[in-house]
Amino acid sequence: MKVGLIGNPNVGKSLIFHQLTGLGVEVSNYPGTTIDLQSGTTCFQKEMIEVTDLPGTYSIEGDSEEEKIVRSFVDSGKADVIVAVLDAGRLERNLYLLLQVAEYRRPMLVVLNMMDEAEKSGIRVDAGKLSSLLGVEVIPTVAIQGKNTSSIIPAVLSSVKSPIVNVLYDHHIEAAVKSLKTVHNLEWIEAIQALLGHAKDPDVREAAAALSEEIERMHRMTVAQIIAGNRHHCAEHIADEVVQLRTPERGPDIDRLLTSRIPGIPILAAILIGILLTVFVIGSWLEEAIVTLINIFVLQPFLAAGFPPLAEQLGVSLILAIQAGFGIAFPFIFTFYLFIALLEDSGYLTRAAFLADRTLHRFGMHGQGIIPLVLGFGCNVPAIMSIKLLRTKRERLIASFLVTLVPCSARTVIIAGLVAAFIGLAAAMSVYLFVMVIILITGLILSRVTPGEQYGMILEMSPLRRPTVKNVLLKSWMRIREFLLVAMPLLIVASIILGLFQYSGLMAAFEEFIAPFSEAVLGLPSYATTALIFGILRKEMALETLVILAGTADLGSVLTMAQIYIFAVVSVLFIPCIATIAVLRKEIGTKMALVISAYTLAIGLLVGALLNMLLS
Amino acid sequence: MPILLYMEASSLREDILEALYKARFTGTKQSLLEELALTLGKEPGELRPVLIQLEQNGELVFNPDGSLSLTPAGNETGGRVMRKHRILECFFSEMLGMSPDTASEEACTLEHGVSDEAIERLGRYIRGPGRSGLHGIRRGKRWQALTLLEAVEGDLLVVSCVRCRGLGGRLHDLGLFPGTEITVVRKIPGNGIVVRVKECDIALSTEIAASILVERAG
Repeated sequence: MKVGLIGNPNVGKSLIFHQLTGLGVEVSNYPGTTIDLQSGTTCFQKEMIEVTDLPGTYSIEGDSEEEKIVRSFVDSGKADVIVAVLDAGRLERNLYLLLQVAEYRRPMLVVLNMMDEAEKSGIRVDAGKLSSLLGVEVIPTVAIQGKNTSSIIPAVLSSVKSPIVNVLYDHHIEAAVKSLKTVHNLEWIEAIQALLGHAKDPDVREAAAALSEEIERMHRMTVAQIIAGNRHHCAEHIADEVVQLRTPERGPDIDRLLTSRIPGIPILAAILIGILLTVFVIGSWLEEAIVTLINIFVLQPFLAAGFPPLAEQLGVSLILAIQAGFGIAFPFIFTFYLFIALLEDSGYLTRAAFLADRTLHRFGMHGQGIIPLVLGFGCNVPAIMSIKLLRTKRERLIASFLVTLVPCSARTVIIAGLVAAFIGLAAAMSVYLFVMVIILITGLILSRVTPGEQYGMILEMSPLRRPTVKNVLLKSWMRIREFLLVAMPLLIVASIILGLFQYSGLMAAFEEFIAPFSEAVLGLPSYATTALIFGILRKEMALETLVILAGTADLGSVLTMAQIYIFAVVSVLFIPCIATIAVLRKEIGTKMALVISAYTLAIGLLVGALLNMLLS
Repeated sequence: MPILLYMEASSLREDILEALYKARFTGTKQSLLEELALTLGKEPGELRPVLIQLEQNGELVFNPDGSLSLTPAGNETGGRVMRKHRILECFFSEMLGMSPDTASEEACTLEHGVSDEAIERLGRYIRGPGRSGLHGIRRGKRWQALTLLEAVEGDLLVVSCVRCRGLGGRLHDLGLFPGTEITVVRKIPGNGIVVRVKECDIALSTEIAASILVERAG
């Protein structure tokens, strides 16, 4: 038995999904689509039930990725039951999507979620009346407290019905539907979908297009607009019947503080800087602990065991990769995710996006672009994964360029461990400044030259809520697992390849080859260049390799201050790490991933060479 | 009968001015009498008296080399007639569905009789039919249409038109639809606006807000 969860964004679908499928559930990501469907199974009274969480969407008639996914899911009849999750506090807008889905006449169940929040803002929904109007069972729930969610599965098994609700369409639309139905022998839903331009059969599509054109000429409105209007009207009508409004309990208006220019923008800056500092402090401490633990308990015993050289090299590469993964994933990324989850669950992130909108417009993006950019400070990989939420290709391209330049926590380790330790804090800050200026210039240039249209931001502000510990932990855990799934295999493969290079002597040959260039252009000894190359594997490994190759942790004694500074700047700027390149490839294609890598390489070498000329 | 003759003569006059005006735009700066006659499907002899009359009115001049050129006054008349022709042709072909040839012929006849005001209104109707077309005409205080960008915090508004390329669909899905009541929750000048639509707060960039026409409710 298959169940699909459908609803607007931010109605608690995923939460219900987790509660239905429970702990220890198999959650798989289906690749191939840009927005992944999550499926899990649950068992009830010896019946296996597969639950699919569909991306949140406001409509299923549009051309955006998530709308297409949900539309084809509903249309294909893959699900035996469709569970529509509605936000009781925003019933009318939620009903608009429900009415679209209801037209497919598949067995359905309606979950009326967030009853508590609706109650608080003075909205009372009559679930019984809604049920009789729609013709399907309606279950009121408060998913965040787990209230009544347990009755969803029994209801799915026992009392699903096809909806009976009908939208009253404009008579021209009705006439066109009737004519398509009789001429082409279509079902009602196929006919209305054909009018909206979704028919698969070319003949039907052509006939529908001709009819649509005629209706458009009569109404001076597109068919999609007329249909949307009729559905909105129907939703409004139903909402009027079932919703009772009272005057809401008014608390202090925190929202006003957060979304005004003053003090909104200073608060935003304080929150972001605070998070970065906290993550950095906690992260560095944890990372050291993890790296030391693996060194003492895994790497050293392994080296002491005395395997044959090739096996030893492979083993060391593997251990290094695992160390790299855990050393960065848990200390920095997980801590960072905790804060991001807090920001998301509290609803603050949408306010941050609103405040940043104007500024980001200058860089060819809009407010929502703040999310990848902020995530980039933690780790570029999840930041690149999050560019999906930007709608146009242009915005995604600009965002991925800028995100790869954002100094992630690993690069922060280099800046802190090298520049701050051996030169001073002011110099370390100047590296940040450097990178920020390069990001600004890149953004300004890209916003001019990148092809494609720029749309503004249309973003629903999520209501302010108190985040729960459980959900924040759960969300962060899900994400860190996703990160490990993507990054770990890459790290292992890349590490082994580099290890083999070293083993076969290719690395030494390369070092010899690169030496003149390295010394002439960057003013760095050749082993520093090798260290830079190891930085591609994991950024802060550049620092660790440098220490190993230099043979001393007191780098100040073997390198000049200028060399240390140049090394730090180049390793921060040049080529994103291998995991980032792989994610770039997945999100924006091989060609653009190569272009971005080449750009960062060029910028890194150029700045390095310039600094070398200036400083030496 | 004399009236009909007069009308014919007057339409011929306008046709000549229109043809000369058109010729100026197609590159040929000056036209010969023979060419003009050919374009209008008349004999040169038929045209001559009318041309002389036009010269007397100060609307065109005979150049020494036999070509004709329009005076500023003639230019204006020619331009006006051509505009009438274009608008009528557009109305007939695109809105009434007539074939382009018939539409052009029909326009040729009607362009001489139609008043400037009717053409003005027809032009406005073709440009922005439906709801948006009405706002330019109703000018009472209650009907003042403004863009969402011009609204201030706390305003209670009714959406009258969404002219958004590309993202109009998303706005419709969110309920920003002609006739919907919305409230301005927050506005940071130059940065964007938050409106409450159907119990939901929606943040919009300035350029999106600028493409939404609203009216003050009540």
